[in-house]
Amino acid sequence: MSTSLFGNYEIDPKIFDEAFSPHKKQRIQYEKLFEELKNYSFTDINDLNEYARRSFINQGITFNVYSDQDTGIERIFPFDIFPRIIPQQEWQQIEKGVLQRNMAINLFLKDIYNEKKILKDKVFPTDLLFSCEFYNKHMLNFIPNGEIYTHVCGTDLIKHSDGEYYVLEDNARCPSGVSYVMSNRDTMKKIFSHVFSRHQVQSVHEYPDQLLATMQSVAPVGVDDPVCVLLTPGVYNSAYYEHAFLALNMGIQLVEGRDLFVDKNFVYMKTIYGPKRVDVIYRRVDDDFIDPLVFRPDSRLGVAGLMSAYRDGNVTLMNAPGTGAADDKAVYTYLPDIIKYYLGEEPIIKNVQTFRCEKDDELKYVLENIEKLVIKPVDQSGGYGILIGSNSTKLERENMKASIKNDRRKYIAQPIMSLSVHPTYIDETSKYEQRHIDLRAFTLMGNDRQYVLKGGLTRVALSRGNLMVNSSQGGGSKDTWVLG
Amino acid sequence: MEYKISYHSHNQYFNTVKDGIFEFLVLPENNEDQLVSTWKIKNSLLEEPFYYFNIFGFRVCRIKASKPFSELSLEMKVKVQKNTRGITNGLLWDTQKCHDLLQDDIFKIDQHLFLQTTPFTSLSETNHHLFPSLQADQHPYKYLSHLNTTIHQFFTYTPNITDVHTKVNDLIELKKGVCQDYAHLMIAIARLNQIPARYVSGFLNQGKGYLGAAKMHAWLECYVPGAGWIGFDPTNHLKTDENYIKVAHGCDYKDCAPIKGVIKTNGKQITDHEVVVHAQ
Repeated sequence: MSTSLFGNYEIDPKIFDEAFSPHKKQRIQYEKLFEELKNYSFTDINDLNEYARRSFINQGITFNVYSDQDTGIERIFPFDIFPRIIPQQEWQQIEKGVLQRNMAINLFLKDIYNEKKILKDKVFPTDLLFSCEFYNKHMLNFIPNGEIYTHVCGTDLIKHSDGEYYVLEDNARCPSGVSYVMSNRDTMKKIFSHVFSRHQVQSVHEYPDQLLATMQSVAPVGVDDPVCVLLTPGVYNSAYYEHAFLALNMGIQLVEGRDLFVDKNFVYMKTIYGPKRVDVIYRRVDDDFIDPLVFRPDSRLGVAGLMSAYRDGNVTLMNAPGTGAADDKAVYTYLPDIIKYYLGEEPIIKNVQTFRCEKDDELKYVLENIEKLVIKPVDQSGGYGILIGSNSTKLERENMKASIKNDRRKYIAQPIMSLSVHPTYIDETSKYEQRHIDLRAFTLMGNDRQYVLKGGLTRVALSRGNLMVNSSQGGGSKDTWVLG
Repeated sequence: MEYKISYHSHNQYFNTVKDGIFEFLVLPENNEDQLVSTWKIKNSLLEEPFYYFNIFGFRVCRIKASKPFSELSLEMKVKVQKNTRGITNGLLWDTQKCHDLLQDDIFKIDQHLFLQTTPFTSLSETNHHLFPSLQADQHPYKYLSHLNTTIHQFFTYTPNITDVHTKVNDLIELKKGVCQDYAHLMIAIARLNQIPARYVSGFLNQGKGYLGAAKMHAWLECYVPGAGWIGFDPTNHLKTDENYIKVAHGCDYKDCAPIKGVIKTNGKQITDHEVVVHAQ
């Protein structure tokens, strides 16, 4: 190694390293960056990381962590300045792959809430669909404006030791994280400007414009200049920073439920000039809370009457309610079939092999091989409730087995995928070490328009060997460069 | 037969309500057996009602308060023509043909809403054996008539023991309840036996001495192959006829609640309603 920064970088040849070959040869897309880093010492890197940290605090970029004991601890999202670089060709495959998935997911949602052909053709099991917690009868026999359900989707991808990308899950409800992509980039440009300027990196800053254009494209029929708003649950939500960030950057109002009301099936925003009609709502409030007349009557976060206004076509909600039926982890296992059924195509990005505990033979396999598997509840996100067989105690495994047997529909299992690793600067050891990463790609679907954010969010597991990259599990992030 | 029905609901709040929105699902529907000839809804807030059709196609009346209030009453007056349809054609299909349809996958998909359990109608497995199940050589109509009797006998009609949140598992030990509880339990058992069943709300002829006639009543409809949806009233141990005026149906009580409200207030409230049904 020419640069001293990586002289003591240790490589585990069994895992795919994004920046180095197993023989510690720099991968081609990183060569220029390594060349630049020759002039840096560990002290420089330490300083830069510290600047980055301060910059995040000053911008107020924080998130809350939920767990059993505490409610709402505010944290900054740990950031590592060494960027992840994705070559253009590789990115094009990702982009095609996530678009293909999202098109299929939209057709699936339209079908399951209307004709239900995929059930009648026995491609997708009826019982599985109707037992989905997020299958929403209030979406039945109704098609949203523009026939779009998942306007914003976050697809979580990993690269396995075979060097191929796999989809880990689709986040079709209210995926978050996109603000970090833009904030990470801002920070990188500020503190690493000359390195950045010597690479041709695809921009991420058009995302708010693309999101606004997506909103406008699905406005109710006959509305030329739609009023768009972002509906947040409020300052105590873990992603409030993101809600504020997106509203600000789109130039639209950030509202809470109490700022809106429904009159005669039209939605209005209270303003100092009187009520103003609202046409499109990017809602970051969960289905259960959006309308107390229809869903949870105790919700103070929603708007009474919103669902009937929506079903009348007078307002567009994005994402549509009931999209959770498509990101149920048991439904995920059918995504390759769903793609073939609606698009007649082979999936461009693979699914991770998944065992459904509700099937007898698969349950047997899971119970016998639990140390080799990751067990996930089908209805939770953010890494909550997950058991990684190899990193668990016997007691934890036995408890999990009991939970599975108690509610088989609730659990799926996957082989422990070896997530790729990336050089990441570690404070405690003052050197670069391999850390596992994944990638959340953000896709926007509007009326006759689609967009994939070039880069997405690279999440980093911050302790050695840890496979959990979720921010709520103490993960960090990196800027993600797609080369142009 | 013609009915004159008046429904009067009264809500009183001890503290002023600053913001309120209410939905009433009380207007009888039009169907093969009944026709609403005239109807009128008045509210004490003098707000202009807004009407829309819910996901099952029933007309909902929404009242939005434009100023603070401490009292809301709503009065509906409606005239309904009612005729009776015989249910003998329910027995036209032979038993095997009925079973074949109930087991048909496409049929199950189309009826899924009325075959799924809901929080109200989910009966734990340990309680299944308490009720008869549909036998392979039994006509579903005969089975349902038998089940109607079983459910009727299971309960002792007792007001104020259960409330609108009571679930079927709670009823097993209580063995007491009102029309809503009878309906939920029979729906639960019918669905366990793969017979589509839906919750129905409506009014009863008050001249017959039926249980539950003083207020809005609840019963259920089951899908009998060949005959279609047939009404059963386990509370009164009857099949529905011209004495039953249907308002709405849904998966369970939640879809048929006569009144729903979202209000900003604190403190106590009193809610009540009266029903007068005149047969002419």
